[in-house]
Amino acid sequence: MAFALRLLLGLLLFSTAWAQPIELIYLEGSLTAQEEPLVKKSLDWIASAYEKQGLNPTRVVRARVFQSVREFHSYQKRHRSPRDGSPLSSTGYFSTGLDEVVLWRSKRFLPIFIHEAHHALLRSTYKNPPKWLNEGLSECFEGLELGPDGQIRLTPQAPRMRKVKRYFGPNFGRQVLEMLALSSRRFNAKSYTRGLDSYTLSWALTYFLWTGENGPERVAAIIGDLKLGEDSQTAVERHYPGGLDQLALDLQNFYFELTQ
Amino acid sequence: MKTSLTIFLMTLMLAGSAWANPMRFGRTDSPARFRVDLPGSWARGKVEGCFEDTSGSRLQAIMAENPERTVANTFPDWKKRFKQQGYEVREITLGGEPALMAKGTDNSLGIVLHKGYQVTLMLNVSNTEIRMDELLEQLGSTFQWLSP
Repeated sequence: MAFALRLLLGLLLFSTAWAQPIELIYLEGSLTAQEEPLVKKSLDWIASAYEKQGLNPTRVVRARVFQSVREFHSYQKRHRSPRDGSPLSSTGYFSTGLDEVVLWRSKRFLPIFIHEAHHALLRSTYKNPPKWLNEGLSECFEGLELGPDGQIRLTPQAPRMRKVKRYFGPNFGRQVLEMLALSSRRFNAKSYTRGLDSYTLSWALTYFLWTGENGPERVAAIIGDLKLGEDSQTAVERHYPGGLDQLALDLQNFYFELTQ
Repeated sequence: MKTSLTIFLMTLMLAGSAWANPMRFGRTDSPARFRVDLPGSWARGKVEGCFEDTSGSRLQAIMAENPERTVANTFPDWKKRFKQQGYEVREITLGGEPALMAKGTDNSLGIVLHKGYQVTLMLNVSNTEIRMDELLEQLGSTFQWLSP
């Protein structure tokens, strides 16, 4: 009897854990048999992290994978018209209108797939996130990798880390927090900045918040306030012990150590 | 009765904290065979490896072995890099060694070479009444290398 109960409980837990695996629907091309498990595992890791915080992201991602940049550009020109000053992408994008991840097999294909698919996950639970959060978290999850134990782990994303290392200075913490006040248009304009661009600074903020003490809980609490219409500075100030001044100082010290 | 009990408890707490932290001198642990000391108002900070002074400023030093580095092959590039980013770079002396400090709004970042080691410094100022220039002067006059 006890064995039957244990078996039933085990089956129940197993079925709950695997009730909604990430489903990839290919609209064009596909991932290879080697790529797909890694991408699914990474997206499942992200979705599960959000679910633990009471968010309910989609587990279905529609993807259009082009083999060449020419096909990608051609499709993008016909189907994309960004209204916030976003430039046409050279690698990939997520279309909110068509609910699809569109990309081509560029040099950093897999991290970009995870980046764009994260937009699909986040936007399914929070329609209009601010740029620093939306892009910052997507950049952050580009650092997901499979550890030697077969488990997914979050590491500092290499290209962003290289930039922080190169341009780290005494005002770094303050520069990061400037992202909280940027409109989408100004965020896009600052993405062209030579040195610490808006994507790098937003990555630095979200990576620090997510990997810090109670990171996912804190990020979810910030998202909760933003959803209620709170502005980014107030939401982050409220949920960071010591407020923005302390956060600037902690960012400064965290990246000082990480860049040495 | 209640007031005197509160005063008694507060005195006890202050005495306790003084007993718990009797030294007002901080020392970094270092992979090198030397240590940094900042006499005066600086004490070991709450954050491991940092010094804090009584006004809330904080100094952190990270040391890495790098015998190839010399003032001649390191300082000009370092200075140029921070100047290009818009920082004022000050040349100071720390314990007899030339050092560079790039000044930010409430932080300064510095570099000094000592006995085959590169020491990167960061100074945080959390007290708005303190002027960074004064703090850098204080740092220059109190910084010491301690040999084992």
